[in-house]
Amino acid sequence: MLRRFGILAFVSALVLVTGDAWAQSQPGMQDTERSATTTIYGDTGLWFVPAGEVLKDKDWSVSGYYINWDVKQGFMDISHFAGNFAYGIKGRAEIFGSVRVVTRIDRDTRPIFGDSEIGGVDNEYPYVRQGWIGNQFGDTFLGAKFNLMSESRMNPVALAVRGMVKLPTGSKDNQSGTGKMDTALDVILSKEVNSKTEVSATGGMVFRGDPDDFDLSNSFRYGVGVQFPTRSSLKFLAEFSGESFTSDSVTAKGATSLVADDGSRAPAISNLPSVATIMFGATWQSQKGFFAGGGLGWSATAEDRGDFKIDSGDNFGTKFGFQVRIGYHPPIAGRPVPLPPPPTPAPAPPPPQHTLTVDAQCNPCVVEVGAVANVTATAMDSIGCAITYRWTAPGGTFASAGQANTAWTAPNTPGTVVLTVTGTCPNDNMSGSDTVSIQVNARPVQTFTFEDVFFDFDRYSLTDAAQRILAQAVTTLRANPTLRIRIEGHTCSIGTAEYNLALGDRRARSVMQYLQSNGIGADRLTSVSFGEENPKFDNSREETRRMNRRAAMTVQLVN
Amino acid sequence: MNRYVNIGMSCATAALLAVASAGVGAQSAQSGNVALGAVRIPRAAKPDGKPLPAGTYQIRVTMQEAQPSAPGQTPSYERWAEFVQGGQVKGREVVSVVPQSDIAQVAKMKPPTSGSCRAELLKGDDYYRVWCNRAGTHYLVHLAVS
Repeated sequence: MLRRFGILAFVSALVLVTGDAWAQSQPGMQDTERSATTTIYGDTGLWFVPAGEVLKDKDWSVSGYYINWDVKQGFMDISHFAGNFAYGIKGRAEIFGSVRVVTRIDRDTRPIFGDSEIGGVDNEYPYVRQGWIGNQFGDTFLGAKFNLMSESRMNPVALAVRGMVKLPTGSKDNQSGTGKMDTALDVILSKEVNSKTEVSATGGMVFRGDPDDFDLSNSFRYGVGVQFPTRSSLKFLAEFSGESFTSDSVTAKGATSLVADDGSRAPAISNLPSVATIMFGATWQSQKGFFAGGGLGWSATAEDRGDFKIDSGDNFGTKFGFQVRIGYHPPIAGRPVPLPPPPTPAPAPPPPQHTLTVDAQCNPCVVEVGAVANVTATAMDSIGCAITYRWTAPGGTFASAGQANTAWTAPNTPGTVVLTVTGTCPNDNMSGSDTVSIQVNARPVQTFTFEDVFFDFDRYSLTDAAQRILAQAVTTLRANPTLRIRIEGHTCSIGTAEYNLALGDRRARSVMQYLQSNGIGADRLTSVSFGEENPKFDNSREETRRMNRRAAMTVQLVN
Repeated sequence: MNRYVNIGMSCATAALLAVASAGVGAQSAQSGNVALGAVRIPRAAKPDGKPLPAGTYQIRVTMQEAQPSAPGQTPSYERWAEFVQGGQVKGREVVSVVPQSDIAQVAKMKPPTSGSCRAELLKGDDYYRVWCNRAGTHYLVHLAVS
């Protein structure tokens, strides 16, 4: 016994230590899931036949079973209401258990005990000594299944080892057990074929603890099963399972044999034929894992009662057993499928076409000759190039022709000047250009008008009225520092030409002196005498002749 | 320059006062006209562009100033004078009034005696100058010769 547990412990450790690595997804593959159900012991499997796969890590299952079968000894009909559970560990193992909450056994032979062939004791329930034991608490099974190969890890089949113990919670006193612990070790091989049919086979040994009164036989148990379609909500199942015993009989220990309620005594040796059962069932299961199913088992090795003079009206119950189950088992990992090929990458976009445009702006765009306008170039480049700029123009001057923004001084010639800016990308010498037209206007001519200053006959002195006129001229000259004027002295025709030329000069100088004495620079003033030569009025009459005695100021230059 | 102006102004004022005071008895019926004296014009002339036959005329100056005004000139120095013959005005021309203080600048020749007038040809006989002296105020009338 200890050696068997040692083997189980070793396998457990091996599985759990390596479980993390084995649980990794396969490279290039996509994990899948498929539905699964439990066995009558709670582990993952078909119905009676377990499967090699196990629950995913930390997944759990629970189920309830009504199990019924027949044995030859005593034509016993054995039923259990079992509650099962299982828990997945790292996708590599699962622990499970089954509690037979109710065990019912109906023994049909009368007297209870008889000959060794059908009147003896059963290897599993040797203490049944009544026709009906009633509802009794049965045995409890605990086990662990270790998955060694799994289709989810791309193994061709699933392979598992299952160890199990029967805890003797069913007692010999209430006839629902032997009172001794049994152990079992099974090897399981299963495969989901074409994602449609699950085929499973198992074989293993059951080691039974002998109670005080009997030598029970160990056994080799086996089973094969098929369930399909595995990925449909409604599955159909067929199983063939059986058990071959290491001994062909159950032997009573000691001199005192078991006495039935009717006083009959169990034979000292009870034949122990092998058993084989064929079962067909159907299970409906939701996508989330809830399931319910029913089945019908047929005991291939059971005998007809009629052959042993037992009421043949109950013969159906001797050969067939109903199976019912309900529970929840989440999907298990299925065979990974290749990842869908990555979408064909879109053809690499052509390298971005290098576009370069330049926009030129001016502010203002209408200037006077010699005035300054600001010009700005803005480049739009598709590759973010560091653009260099060059401004050119047929006239005017740029402050910084190599800058995007620069000042441009208009030429002194009026007209439209087209300024061109060229932006160039040094990376590939791509360039773009734009032009901007600036209208250069002539500076408006400022008109300066000075009143003539008149003189009395043959005089050149300035009267108060004359000085008032000249004061206005001073104001104008001060406001326009670049203004230069010429002072013309004129006379009437009275007197000689020479005299009048001199008189006109004196008149002009008289005005010039006045202006200079009021702060107007001499460099801005020139004088000339026309004498009587340029009369503005008629000299034949004094009324108009007197108007020729004047000094006139004319603008000489405007900057 | 102001000196000249002041002098001019004061002289003009004095001249006007002189004209006014000296001419009280010789004033015509029209108020402000001052008789300057008689003058003989040997050749026909054209005062104010109009023909004036040769002859002797009484010259009288009016208070009417020449128009338009010429800024810088002294308005009262340019006044209308009349050539009167037989009690009738035969011609008119603007006379230039020159105070005594300025006459030396204007005319180099000896002025007529006070209360008298004389006519003289100037500039190649282009003009007649009628020069009257009344109490030191000089009246110059320039007439184009016909």
